[in-house]
Amino acid sequence: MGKTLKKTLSNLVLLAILFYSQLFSISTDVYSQTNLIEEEDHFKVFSGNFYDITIPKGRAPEAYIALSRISEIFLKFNYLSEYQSPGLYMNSLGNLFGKGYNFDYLDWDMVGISNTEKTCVNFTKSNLDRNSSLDLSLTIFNQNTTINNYDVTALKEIFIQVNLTNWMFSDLSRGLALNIFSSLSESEEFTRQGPYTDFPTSTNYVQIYTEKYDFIIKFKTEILIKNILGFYENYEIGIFANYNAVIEEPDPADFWISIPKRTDISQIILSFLCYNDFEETGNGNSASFLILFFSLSSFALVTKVILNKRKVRK
Amino acid sequence: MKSGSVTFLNKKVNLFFIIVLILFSTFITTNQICDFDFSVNNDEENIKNKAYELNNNELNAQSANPNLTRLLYQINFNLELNAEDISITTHSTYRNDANNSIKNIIHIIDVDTIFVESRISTILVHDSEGELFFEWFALSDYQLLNISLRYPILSEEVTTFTVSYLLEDAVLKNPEILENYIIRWTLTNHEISEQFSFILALPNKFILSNSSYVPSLEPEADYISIDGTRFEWIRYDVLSNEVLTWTIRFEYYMNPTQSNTNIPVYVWILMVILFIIGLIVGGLSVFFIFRSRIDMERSDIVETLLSQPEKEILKIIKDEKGVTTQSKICSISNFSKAKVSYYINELEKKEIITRERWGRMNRIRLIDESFEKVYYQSTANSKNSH
Repeated sequence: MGKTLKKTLSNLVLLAILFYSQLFSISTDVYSQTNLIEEEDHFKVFSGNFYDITIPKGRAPEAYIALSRISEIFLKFNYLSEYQSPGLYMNSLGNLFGKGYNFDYLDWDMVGISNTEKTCVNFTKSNLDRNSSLDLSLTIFNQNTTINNYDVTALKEIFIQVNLTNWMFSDLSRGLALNIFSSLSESEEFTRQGPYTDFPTSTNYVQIYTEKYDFIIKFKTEILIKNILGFYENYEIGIFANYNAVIEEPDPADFWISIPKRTDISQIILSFLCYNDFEETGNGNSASFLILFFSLSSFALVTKVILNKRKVRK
Repeated sequence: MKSGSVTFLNKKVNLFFIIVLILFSTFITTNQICDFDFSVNNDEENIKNKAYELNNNELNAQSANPNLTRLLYQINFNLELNAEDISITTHSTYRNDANNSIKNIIHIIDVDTIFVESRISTILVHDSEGELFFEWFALSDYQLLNISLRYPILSEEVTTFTVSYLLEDAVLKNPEILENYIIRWTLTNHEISEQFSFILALPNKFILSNSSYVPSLEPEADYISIDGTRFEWIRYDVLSNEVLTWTIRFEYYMNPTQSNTNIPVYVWILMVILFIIGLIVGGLSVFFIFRSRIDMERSDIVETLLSQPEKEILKIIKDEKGVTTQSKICSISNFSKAKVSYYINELEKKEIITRERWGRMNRIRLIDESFEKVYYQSTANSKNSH
């Protein structure tokens, strides 16, 4: 009798350890690193259990960032154009003037790289006017990283960098503008907020949110430029949205970042951070509660089965 | 002596003037050469100056490539599916008529759309081996490209290169007619072209408008493809500064893929006729079936309502073409007078016949003709059954 009790208790302890270890592994919600799969017509980037990102090939730089099975953010870098405006920055679509490139009509060279540090997909287009070139990379780091004055959280934040090298401004132009477009899946209702500037942090935000998600595109009010002497400087940019950015509306975010003309620039570097800022505490709690509930139920069930078996043997 | 010195002086002055003239003319020529040797000179400032000169003074751009002859200039317009943008590819073939080699060619894009505010963007240049280095000068009226060739073209040699670009928002959507579009554009030639061709291709879902009021193509195309979506115009010896204008009206076509597999119109007409015939035949059949059913029901009713002597009397009346006398019925039927009188009374009550006095006799007339047929069918059936 004493032996049987001991055996039962030891079995129970074993089972308890087993269940708790499983419970522990389930509630740890960060996978170790990113992954990249290249298919015939797209790249697929897996970032832990935060995002699955699909990047089509043979098109403009664009990404479909899946937030759940049905919801995905569409992010596209659309257009680069010079502008002529009365002020320093672009303030109307009518300002667009001079040299410009529609990204849909460029043949991009695409490369996907995945290593222990990061996973990234690069778009490159060279041989533009005067051998100027355009590089765009979408990166997810496996470790927290600081790059271009941005603190990038591993796996959770998508870091996008746009490099424009050797751009020679037209004489009649006032600057250069980059167009970015973003929306949630067509079938879903969402609200767009911004772009707006958070002055204490000198950071611009564009938000696309629903009850479940809050996808943010974040970029600083100053970008990096490399001058012809090879030195890097901060350079203030402007934002233009072809709508009233103060009003939150259920429309896509379609905005332009304008970089005023300077003749001594050899490289323009724009950086963006994208992430889903929705705090899933409620969902997380309910999910962990469910896991706990089922684990304990199974625990009780298995214990009862074992005890019953022992009773039958007796 | 004096006269001799004067003559000598005069000669000196003349010589001086001649030298001055020679120097001056050389200076002018040198200036002109510098000015015209633009295609050889790759100096950016010179090109910029030239660009502004061309832009501001509206000079003949032929001077940009003075020693080159444009043998062929082909423009391909490919309308994008969004029916707004046009992807344009131009092929140019030049021959070097100079004695020296040429490394750079100036290419001017001077395309204007009428009705809409279009914009030229996304210019790329390449030859058969790949992309070429080029400098793009975006001027207020047109775009000027200074293209560096991959290899210098020697005297009498020929080179070909392609310039591709995008003409954005180039199509006018006709607000009065749904899904109806117009492209109206002009091309200003800035240099002589021995052969010029313009090719326009509509995307899959579009066809030319078939309005009878306005032509779909202006001017008429020299060549139209079988599927009616590709048009070509060819001109020879296009002059410098010659302006050419085109108008193309087209519309959205709902199911272009089905059009080829669709049943021909005459089959549709035949099917409609057959349907109508079927409807009539079906209707008539239903009518006759119902009618025969009603007749059968009636005959059954008659069968139950009329007695055998009544039926025989009705047959006699019918044989006498609906009118007879009571005595004749007696003689034909061999019934007694009383029996005939009784059944005549019965039939009169049932409002099948009428009886009227006719001299000393009674004339019997059938008033409900529907009973005739019923009666006969009924008797025929009864006969068959017997």
